[in-house]
Amino acid sequence: MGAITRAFANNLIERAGPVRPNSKPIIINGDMAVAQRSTSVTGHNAVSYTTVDRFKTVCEVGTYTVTQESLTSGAAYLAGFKNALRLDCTTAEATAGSAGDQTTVEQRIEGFNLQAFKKGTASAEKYTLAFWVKSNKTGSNLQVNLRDSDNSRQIGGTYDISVADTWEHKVINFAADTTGAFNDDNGLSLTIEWFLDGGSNYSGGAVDTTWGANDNTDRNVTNFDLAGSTDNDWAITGVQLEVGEYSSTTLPPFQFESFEENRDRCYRYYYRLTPTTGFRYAGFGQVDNDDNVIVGITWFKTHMRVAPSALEQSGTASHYRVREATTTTCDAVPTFTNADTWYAATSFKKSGITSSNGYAQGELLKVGIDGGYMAWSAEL
Amino acid sequence: MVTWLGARSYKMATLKYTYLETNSDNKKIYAKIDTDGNSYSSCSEDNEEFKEWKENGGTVEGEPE
Repeated sequence: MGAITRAFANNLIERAGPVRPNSKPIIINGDMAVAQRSTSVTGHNAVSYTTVDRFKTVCEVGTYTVTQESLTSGAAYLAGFKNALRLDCTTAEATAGSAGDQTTVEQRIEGFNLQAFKKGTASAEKYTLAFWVKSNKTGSNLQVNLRDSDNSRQIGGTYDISVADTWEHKVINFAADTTGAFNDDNGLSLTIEWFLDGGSNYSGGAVDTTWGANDNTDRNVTNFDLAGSTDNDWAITGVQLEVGEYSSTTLPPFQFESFEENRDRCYRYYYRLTPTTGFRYAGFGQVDNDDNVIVGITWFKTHMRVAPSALEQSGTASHYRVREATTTTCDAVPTFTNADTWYAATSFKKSGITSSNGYAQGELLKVGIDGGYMAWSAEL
Repeated sequence: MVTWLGARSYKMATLKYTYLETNSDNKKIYAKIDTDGNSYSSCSEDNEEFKEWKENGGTVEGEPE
Protein backbone atom coordinates (compact mmCIF):
# COMPACT_ATOMS: atom_id res chain seq x y z
CA MET A 1 0.00 0.00 0.00
CA GLY A 2 1.49 3.32 -1.03
CA ALA A 3 1.81 6.19 1.36
CA ILE A 4 -1.05 8.16 -0.17
CA THR A 5 -3.37 5.14 -0.21
CA ARG A 6 -2.48 4.35 3.40
CA ALA A 7 -3.16 7.93 4.48
CA PHE A 8 -6.55 7.81 2.76
CA ALA A 9 -7.40 4.51 4.49
CA ASN A 10 -6.35 5.90 7.88
CA ASN A 11 -8.50 8.94 7.26
CA LEU A 12 -11.50 6.72 6.62
CA ILE A 13 -10.90 4.85 9.87
CA GLU A 14 -10.58 8.07 11.84
CA ARG A 15 -13.84 9.31 10.35
CA ALA A 16 -15.83 6.22 11.33
CA GLY A 17 -19.02 7.05 13.19
CA PRO A 18 -21.60 9.73 12.50
CA VAL A 19 -20.61 11.75 9.47
CA ARG A 20 -22.45 14.90 8.67
CA PRO A 21 -23.93 15.61 5.26
CA ASN A 22 -21.66 17.40 2.83
CA SER A 23 -23.37 20.77 2.87
CA LYS A 24 -23.57 23.99 4.83
CA PRO A 25 -25.65 23.79 8.00
CA ILE A 26 -29.28 24.72 7.48
CA ILE A 27 -29.33 26.70 10.71
CA ILE A 28 -27.31 29.88 10.43
CA ASN A 29 -25.32 30.98 13.47
CA GLY A 30 -26.37 27.89 15.41
CA ASP A 31 -23.35 28.34 17.68
CA MET A 32 -24.49 31.90 18.50
CA ALA A 33 -21.04 33.26 17.66
CA VAL A 34 -22.19 36.27 15.62
CA ALA A 35 -23.99 39.18 17.29
CA GLN A 36 -23.80 42.22 15.02
CA ARG A 37 -26.48 44.27 16.76
CA SER A 38 -25.42 43.96 20.37
CA THR A 39 -24.19 41.47 22.93
CA SER A 40 -26.75 42.54 25.52
CA VAL A 41 -30.14 44.21 25.35
CA THR A 42 -32.06 45.17 28.47
CA GLY A 43 -35.74 45.88 28.87
CA HIS A 44 -36.75 43.75 25.92
CA ASN A 45 -40.52 43.43 25.68
CA ALA A 46 -41.04 43.45 21.96
CA VAL A 47 -40.62 41.52 18.75
CA SER A 48 -37.20 42.01 17.18
CA TYR A 49 -33.76 40.69 16.55
CA THR A 50 -31.78 41.77 19.58
CA THR A 51 -28.40 40.12 20.05
CA VAL A 52 -27.21 37.00 18.21
CA ASP A 53 -27.85 37.08 14.48
CA ARG A 54 -30.68 35.08 12.89
CA PHE A 55 -32.41 34.33 16.20
CA LYS A 56 -35.50 36.47 16.67
CA THR A 57 -36.60 37.17 20.22
CA VAL A 58 -40.36 37.49 20.40
CA CYS A 59 -40.90 38.73 23.93
CA GLU A 60 -44.50 39.81 24.49
CA VAL A 61 -44.98 38.05 27.85
CA GLY A 62 -42.58 39.43 30.46
CA THR A 63 -39.58 41.70 30.02
CA TYR A 64 -36.10 40.34 29.48
CA THR A 65 -32.43 41.01 29.31
CA VAL A 66 -31.28 39.22 26.20
CA THR A 67 -27.59 38.41 25.94
CA GLN A 68 -25.02 36.67 23.86
CA GLU A 69 -23.73 34.76 26.86
CA SER A 70 -20.08 33.71 26.93
CA LEU A 71 -19.70 30.14 28.11
CA THR A 72 -16.75 29.09 30.21
CA SER A 73 -17.90 25.75 31.60
CA GLY A 74 -20.57 23.10 31.37
CA ALA A 75 -21.44 20.37 28.91
CA ALA A 76 -22.23 22.74 26.05
CA TYR A 77 -18.89 24.48 26.55
CA LEU A 78 -17.12 21.11 26.53
CA ALA A 79 -18.94 20.30 23.28
CA GLY A 80 -17.22 23.31 21.73
CA PHE A 81 -19.75 26.10 22.19
CA LYS A 82 -18.37 29.36 23.52
CA ASN A 83 -21.58 31.38 23.20
CA ALA A 84 -25.28 31.02 23.86
CA LEU A 85 -28.44 33.07 23.47
CA ARG A 86 -29.83 33.79 26.93
CA LEU A 87 -33.10 35.33 28.10
CA ASP A 88 -33.28 36.54 31.71
CA CYS A 89 -36.70 37.59 32.93
CA THR A 90 -36.44 41.02 34.57
CA THR A 91 -40.13 41.86 34.87
CA ALA A 92 -42.46 38.98 35.55
CA GLU A 93 -45.91 38.64 34.05
CA ALA A 94 -47.74 35.83 35.80
CA THR A 95 -50.58 35.88 33.30
CA ALA A 96 -50.09 36.97 29.72
CA GLY A 97 -51.46 40.47 29.28
CA SER A 98 -53.20 39.44 26.11
CA ALA A 99 -54.41 36.02 25.03
CA GLY A 100 -52.44 36.46 21.84
CA ASP A 101 -49.13 37.41 23.45
CA GLN A 102 -46.23 35.03 23.23
CA THR A 103 -42.60 34.72 24.22
CA THR A 104 -40.67 32.61 21.77
CA VAL A 105 -37.27 32.36 20.19
CA GLU A 106 -37.34 31.81 16.45
CA GLN A 107 -35.12 31.06 13.53
CA ARG A 108 -36.79 31.85 10.21
CA ILE A 109 -35.51 30.00 7.15
CA GLU A 110 -35.96 30.85 3.48
CA GLY A 111 -37.19 28.27 0.99
CA PHE A 112 -33.92 28.14 -0.97
CA ASN A 113 -32.26 26.46 2.03
CA LEU A 114 -34.94 23.83 2.63
CA GLN A 115 -35.30 21.94 -0.63
CA ALA A 116 -33.36 18.93 0.66
CA PHE A 117 -36.38 18.06 2.81
CA LYS A 118 -38.36 17.37 -0.40
CA LYS A 119 -41.44 18.50 1.44
CA GLY A 120 -44.68 18.00 -0.39
CA THR A 121 -43.41 15.04 -2.39
CA ALA A 122 -43.63 11.27 -2.03
CA SER A 123 -39.93 11.33 -1.12
CA ALA A 124 -40.33 13.80 1.74
CA GLU A 125 -37.65 13.56 4.43
CA LYS A 126 -37.94 13.61 8.20
CA TYR A 127 -36.43 16.41 10.28
CA THR A 128 -34.10 16.20 13.25
CA LEU A 129 -33.63 19.29 15.43
CA ALA A 130 -30.87 19.23 18.01
CA PHE A 131 -29.76 21.88 20.49
CA TRP A 132 -28.26 22.52 23.89
CA VAL A 133 -30.55 24.14 26.43
CA LYS A 134 -30.26 25.35 30.03
CA SER A 135 -32.65 26.98 32.48
CA ASN A 136 -32.91 27.63 36.19
CA LYS A 137 -36.44 26.23 35.91
CA THR A 138 -37.06 22.56 35.27
CA GLY A 139 -40.06 21.51 33.25
CA SER A 140 -41.60 18.83 31.09
CA ASN A 141 -42.95 18.99 27.57
CA LEU A 142 -41.49 22.35 26.59
CA GLN A 143 -42.57 22.82 23.04
CA VAL A 144 -40.69 23.56 19.85
CA ASN A 145 -42.65 23.84 16.64
CA LEU A 146 -41.86 23.80 12.94
CA ARG A 147 -44.17 26.16 11.07
CA ASP A 148 -44.47 26.07 7.28
CA SER A 149 -45.42 29.54 6.04
CA ASP A 150 -45.88 28.48 2.44
CA ASN A 151 -48.65 26.02 3.20
CA SER A 152 -49.87 27.15 6.65
CA ARG A 153 -48.92 23.84 8.23
CA GLN A 154 -47.19 22.98 11.47
CA ILE A 155 -45.77 20.16 13.57
CA GLY A 156 -44.62 20.15 17.18
CA GLY A 157 -42.07 18.43 19.35
CA THR A 158 -41.32 18.47 23.05
CA TYR A 159 -38.35 18.30 25.37
CA ASP A 160 -37.78 18.34 29.12
CA ILE A 161 -35.44 20.42 31.23
CA SER A 162 -34.56 17.82 33.83
CA VAL A 163 -31.86 19.51 35.90
CA ALA A 164 -31.76 23.19 36.82
CA ASP A 165 -28.87 25.34 35.61
CA THR A 166 -27.33 22.49 33.66
CA TRP A 167 -26.76 22.25 29.92
CA GLU A 168 -28.73 19.40 28.39
CA HIS A 169 -28.55 18.20 24.79
CA LYS A 170 -31.89 17.61 23.09
CA VAL A 171 -32.55 15.72 19.88
CA ILE A 172 -36.09 15.94 18.54
CA ASN A 173 -37.46 14.11 15.51
CA PHE A 174 -40.23 15.46 13.30
CA ALA A 175 -42.20 13.50 10.73
CA ALA A 176 -41.87 14.00 7.00
CA ASP A 177 -44.62 15.88 5.20
CA THR A 178 -45.78 14.72 1.79
CA THR A 179 -48.17 17.68 1.59
CA GLY A 180 -47.20 21.21 0.67
CA ALA A 181 -43.83 21.91 -0.89
CA PHE A 182 -41.57 24.66 0.38
CA ASN A 183 -41.35 27.42 -2.21
CA ASP A 184 -37.96 27.42 -3.91
CA ASP A 185 -37.35 31.09 -3.31
CA ASN A 186 -35.93 33.63 -0.89
CA GLY A 187 -39.15 34.06 1.08
CA LEU A 188 -39.98 32.75 4.52
CA SER A 189 -40.79 29.05 4.35
CA LEU A 190 -40.05 27.58 7.77
CA THR A 191 -40.00 29.01 11.27
CA ILE A 192 -38.56 27.04 14.14
CA GLU A 193 -40.11 28.39 17.33
CA TRP A 194 -39.12 27.53 20.85
CA PHE A 195 -42.23 28.43 22.87
CA LEU A 196 -41.39 29.77 26.32
CA ASP A 197 -44.55 31.54 27.43
CA GLY A 198 -47.88 32.42 25.92
CA GLY A 199 -51.43 33.53 26.37
CA SER A 200 -54.49 31.35 26.22
CA ASN A 201 -54.68 31.47 22.41
CA TYR A 202 -51.77 29.06 22.21
CA SER A 203 -52.95 26.25 24.48
CA GLY A 204 -55.93 23.96 24.80
CA GLY A 205 -55.05 21.68 21.93
CA ALA A 206 -52.55 18.86 21.58
CA VAL A 207 -48.97 18.78 20.33
CA ASP A 208 -49.02 17.99 16.62
CA THR A 209 -46.93 14.86 16.14
CA THR A 210 -47.74 14.86 12.43
CA TRP A 211 -47.92 17.79 10.06
CA GLY A 212 -51.30 19.44 9.85
CA ALA A 213 -53.03 22.74 9.26
CA ASN A 214 -52.00 25.60 11.52
CA ASP A 215 -53.75 25.60 14.87
CA ASN A 216 -52.62 28.12 17.47
CA THR A 217 -54.04 26.03 20.33
CA ASP A 218 -51.46 23.32 19.54
CA ARG A 219 -48.40 25.56 19.76
CA ASN A 220 -47.90 25.85 23.53
CA VAL A 221 -49.87 23.02 25.09
CA THR A 222 -47.85 22.94 28.31
CA ASN A 223 -46.79 26.47 29.21
CA PHE A 224 -43.24 26.71 30.54
CA ASP A 225 -44.11 30.12 32.02
CA LEU A 226 -40.69 31.71 31.61
CA ALA A 227 -42.19 35.07 32.58
CA GLY A 228 -43.60 33.67 35.80
CA SER A 229 -40.71 34.90 37.92
CA THR A 230 -37.74 37.22 37.66
CA ASP A 231 -35.68 34.25 38.83
CA ASN A 232 -36.19 32.63 35.47
CA ASP A 233 -33.78 32.33 32.61
CA TRP A 234 -33.43 30.15 29.51
CA ALA A 235 -30.46 29.70 27.24
CA ILE A 236 -29.80 27.84 24.01
CA THR A 237 -26.86 27.05 21.75
CA GLY A 238 -25.59 24.44 19.32
CA VAL A 239 -28.74 24.45 17.21
CA GLN A 240 -28.70 22.14 14.20
CA LEU A 241 -31.43 21.00 11.84
CA GLU A 242 -30.70 17.84 9.88
CA VAL A 243 -32.39 16.14 6.95
CA GLY A 244 -33.47 12.69 8.10
CA GLU A 245 -34.08 10.95 11.38
CA TYR A 246 -31.23 10.77 13.86
CA SER A 247 -30.88 9.80 17.50
CA SER A 248 -28.48 11.23 20.05
CA THR A 249 -25.98 8.56 19.05
CA THR A 250 -26.35 8.82 15.27
CA LEU A 251 -26.68 12.61 15.07
CA PRO A 252 -24.03 14.09 12.76
CA PRO A 253 -21.58 16.30 14.63
CA PHE A 254 -22.39 19.99 14.83
CA GLN A 255 -20.85 21.63 11.80
CA PHE A 256 -18.70 24.41 13.16
CA GLU A 257 -17.95 27.05 10.57
CA SER A 258 -15.18 29.58 10.75
CA PHE A 259 -16.31 32.86 12.28
CA GLU A 260 -15.94 34.55 8.90
CA GLU A 261 -18.07 31.94 7.09
CA ASN A 262 -20.71 32.20 9.77
CA ARG A 263 -20.74 36.01 9.70
CA ASP A 264 -20.86 36.10 5.91
CA ARG A 265 -23.98 33.95 5.96
CA CYS A 266 -25.50 36.30 8.56
CA TYR A 267 -24.73 39.24 6.27
CA ARG A 268 -27.34 37.95 3.82
CA TYR A 269 -29.94 38.99 6.42
CA TYR A 270 -28.33 41.87 8.30
CA TYR A 271 -25.29 43.98 7.47
CA ARG A 272 -23.94 46.40 10.02
CA LEU A 273 -20.91 48.66 9.83
CA THR A 274 -19.50 49.64 13.21
CA PRO A 275 -16.01 51.19 13.21
CA THR A 276 -13.62 49.39 15.50
CA THR A 277 -12.12 52.75 16.43
CA GLY A 278 -12.49 56.41 15.56
CA PHE A 279 -13.60 57.70 12.18
CA ARG A 280 -13.79 55.04 9.51
CA TYR A 281 -15.10 55.19 5.95
CA ALA A 282 -18.29 53.48 4.84
CA GLY A 283 -18.09 54.29 1.16
CA PHE A 284 -17.84 57.07 -1.39
CA GLY A 285 -20.37 59.73 -2.14
CA GLN A 286 -21.05 62.65 -4.41
CA VAL A 287 -22.26 66.08 -3.47
CA ASP A 288 -25.84 66.39 -4.66
CA ASN A 289 -27.24 69.49 -6.30
CA ASP A 290 -29.44 70.59 -3.40
CA ASP A 291 -26.71 72.13 -1.20
CA ASN A 292 -27.34 69.80 1.75
CA VAL A 293 -26.88 66.16 0.77
CA ILE A 294 -23.99 63.87 -0.12
CA VAL A 295 -25.26 60.55 -1.47
CA GLY A 296 -22.88 57.80 -0.38
CA ILE A 297 -22.69 54.29 -1.76
CA THR A 298 -21.91 51.30 0.47
CA TRP A 299 -21.28 47.90 -1.10
CA PHE A 300 -22.49 44.87 0.84
CA LYS A 301 -19.97 42.09 1.38
CA THR A 302 -22.46 39.53 0.15
CA HIS A 303 -25.73 39.82 -1.68
CA MET A 304 -28.52 40.34 0.79
CA ARG A 305 -31.66 38.18 0.70
CA VAL A 306 -33.74 41.07 -0.61
CA ALA A 307 -33.02 44.72 -1.21
CA PRO A 308 -33.13 46.50 2.16
CA SER A 309 -35.78 49.18 2.47
CA ALA A 310 -34.47 50.98 5.55
CA LEU A 311 -31.30 52.31 7.10
CA GLU A 312 -30.57 52.00 10.82
CA GLN A 313 -28.18 54.44 12.48
CA SER A 314 -27.22 55.64 15.95
CA GLY A 315 -29.51 58.66 16.12
CA THR A 316 -26.62 61.08 16.63
CA ALA A 317 -25.71 63.38 13.73
CA SER A 318 -22.14 63.93 14.91
CA HIS A 319 -21.39 60.24 14.41
CA TYR A 320 -21.46 60.79 10.65
CA ARG A 321 -18.95 62.71 8.56
CA VAL A 322 -17.85 63.42 5.03
CA ARG A 323 -14.34 64.19 3.91
CA GLU A 324 -12.38 65.37 0.94
CA ALA A 325 -9.36 67.34 2.18
CA THR A 326 -10.92 68.03 5.57
CA THR A 327 -13.43 66.15 7.62
CA THR A 328 -16.86 67.73 7.96
CA THR A 329 -19.35 66.59 10.57
CA CYS A 330 -22.92 66.05 9.39
CA ASP A 331 -25.66 68.17 10.91
CA ALA A 332 -28.38 65.52 10.71
CA VAL A 333 -28.40 61.74 10.79
CA PRO A 334 -28.00 59.95 7.47
CA THR A 335 -31.14 58.64 5.81
CA PHE A 336 -32.08 55.85 3.45
CA THR A 337 -31.97 56.71 -0.24
CA ASN A 338 -32.32 53.41 -2.08
CA ALA A 339 -30.76 49.96 -2.20
CA ASP A 340 -30.54 46.69 -4.01
CA THR A 341 -29.25 43.35 -2.83
CA TRP A 342 -25.63 44.42 -3.42
CA TYR A 343 -25.49 48.06 -2.34
CA ALA A 344 -27.18 50.83 -0.43
CA ALA A 345 -27.27 54.54 -1.15
CA THR A 346 -27.39 56.81 1.88
CA SER A 347 -28.00 60.54 2.18
CA PHE A 348 -25.41 62.20 4.41
CA LYS A 349 -26.67 65.59 5.55
CA LYS A 350 -24.65 68.81 5.59
CA SER A 351 -26.38 72.14 5.07
CA GLY A 352 -24.52 74.56 2.84
CA ILE A 353 -22.26 71.82 1.51
CA THR A 354 -21.78 73.76 -1.73
CA SER A 355 -22.69 77.32 -0.82
CA SER A 356 -20.86 77.53 2.51
CA ASN A 357 -18.51 74.58 2.80
CA GLY A 358 -16.57 74.92 -0.42
CA TYR A 359 -17.60 71.71 -2.12
CA ALA A 360 -18.76 71.55 -5.72
CA GLN A 361 -21.78 69.76 -7.04
CA GLY A 362 -20.80 66.27 -8.13
CA GLU A 363 -17.59 66.33 -6.13
CA LEU A 364 -16.47 62.92 -4.90
CA LEU A 365 -16.23 62.59 -1.12
CA LYS A 366 -15.58 59.83 1.34
CA VAL A 367 -18.42 59.19 3.76
CA GLY A 368 -17.92 57.65 7.15
CA ILE A 369 -18.85 56.86 10.71
CA ASP A 370 -17.28 57.88 14.01
CA GLY A 371 -18.83 56.31 17.08
CA GLY A 372 -22.05 55.27 15.40
CA TYR A 373 -23.07 52.60 12.95
CA MET A 374 -25.02 52.02 9.77
CA ALA A 375 -27.05 48.88 9.24
CA TRP A 376 -29.39 47.36 6.69
CA SER A 377 -31.78 44.49 7.28
CA ALA A 378 -33.13 41.83 4.97
CA GLU A 379 -34.40 39.62 7.79
CA LEU A 380 -37.29 37.28 7.37
CA MET B 1 -21.97 46.77 24.65
CA VAL B 2 -25.43 47.24 26.09
CA THR B 3 -28.27 48.56 24.01
CA TRP B 4 -31.85 49.23 24.95
CA LEU B 5 -34.02 48.32 22.03
CA GLY B 6 -37.38 48.23 23.73
CA ALA B 7 -38.66 51.39 22.09
CA ARG B 8 -37.31 50.51 18.67
CA SER B 9 -39.58 47.66 17.78
CA TYR B 10 -42.77 47.84 15.79
CA LYS B 11 -44.72 46.48 18.75
CA MET B 12 -44.35 49.84 20.49
CA ALA B 13 -47.48 51.85 19.85
CA THR B 14 -46.16 55.38 19.87
CA LEU B 15 -43.82 55.54 16.94
CA LYS B 16 -44.36 58.08 14.23
CA TYR B 17 -43.00 58.63 10.76
CA THR B 18 -42.27 61.91 9.03
CA TYR B 19 -41.97 62.38 5.29
CA LEU B 20 -38.47 63.33 4.12
CA GLU B 21 -38.32 63.24 0.35
CA THR B 22 -39.11 61.25 -2.77
CA ASN B 23 -36.11 59.43 -4.20
CA SER B 24 -35.07 58.95 -7.82
CA ASP B 25 -37.16 55.76 -8.01
CA ASN B 26 -40.19 57.88 -7.12
CA LYS B 27 -40.39 56.16 -3.74
CA LYS B 28 -41.25 58.21 -0.68
CA ILE B 29 -38.67 58.19 2.09
CA TYR B 30 -39.63 58.55 5.74
CA ALA B 31 -37.82 59.07 9.04
CA LYS B 32 -39.01 56.85 11.85
CA ILE B 33 -39.23 58.94 15.02
CA ASP B 34 -38.78 57.13 18.30
CA THR B 35 -40.55 57.91 21.55
CA ASP B 36 -37.52 59.94 22.68
CA GLY B 37 -37.91 62.21 19.67
CA ASN B 38 -34.83 60.93 17.89
CA SER B 39 -34.72 59.11 14.61
CA TYR B 40 -32.77 55.85 14.58
CA SER B 41 -33.88 54.71 11.16
CA SER B 42 -35.36 55.83 7.89
CA CYS B 43 -37.09 53.82 5.24
CA SER B 44 -38.83 53.79 1.89
CA GLU B 45 -42.54 53.35 1.42
CA ASP B 46 -41.85 49.67 0.62
CA ASN B 47 -40.62 48.90 4.13
CA GLU B 48 -42.72 46.14 5.73
CA GLU B 49 -42.61 47.62 9.22
CA PHE B 50 -43.73 51.00 7.88
CA LYS B 51 -46.53 49.44 5.84
CA GLU B 52 -47.74 47.47 8.86
CA TRP B 53 -47.70 50.65 10.96
CA LYS B 54 -49.77 52.46 8.34
CA GLU B 55 -52.20 49.57 8.02
CA ASN B 56 -52.71 49.76 11.78
CA GLY B 57 -53.83 53.37 11.50
CA GLY B 58 -50.58 55.30 11.60
CA THR B 59 -50.62 58.73 9.97
CA VAL B 60 -47.44 60.13 8.47
CA GLU B 61 -46.46 63.70 9.33
CA GLY B 62 -45.57 66.03 6.49
CA GLU B 63 -46.89 63.76 3.76
CA PRO B 64 -47.29 65.75 0.53
CA GLU B 65 -50.77 65.85 -0.95
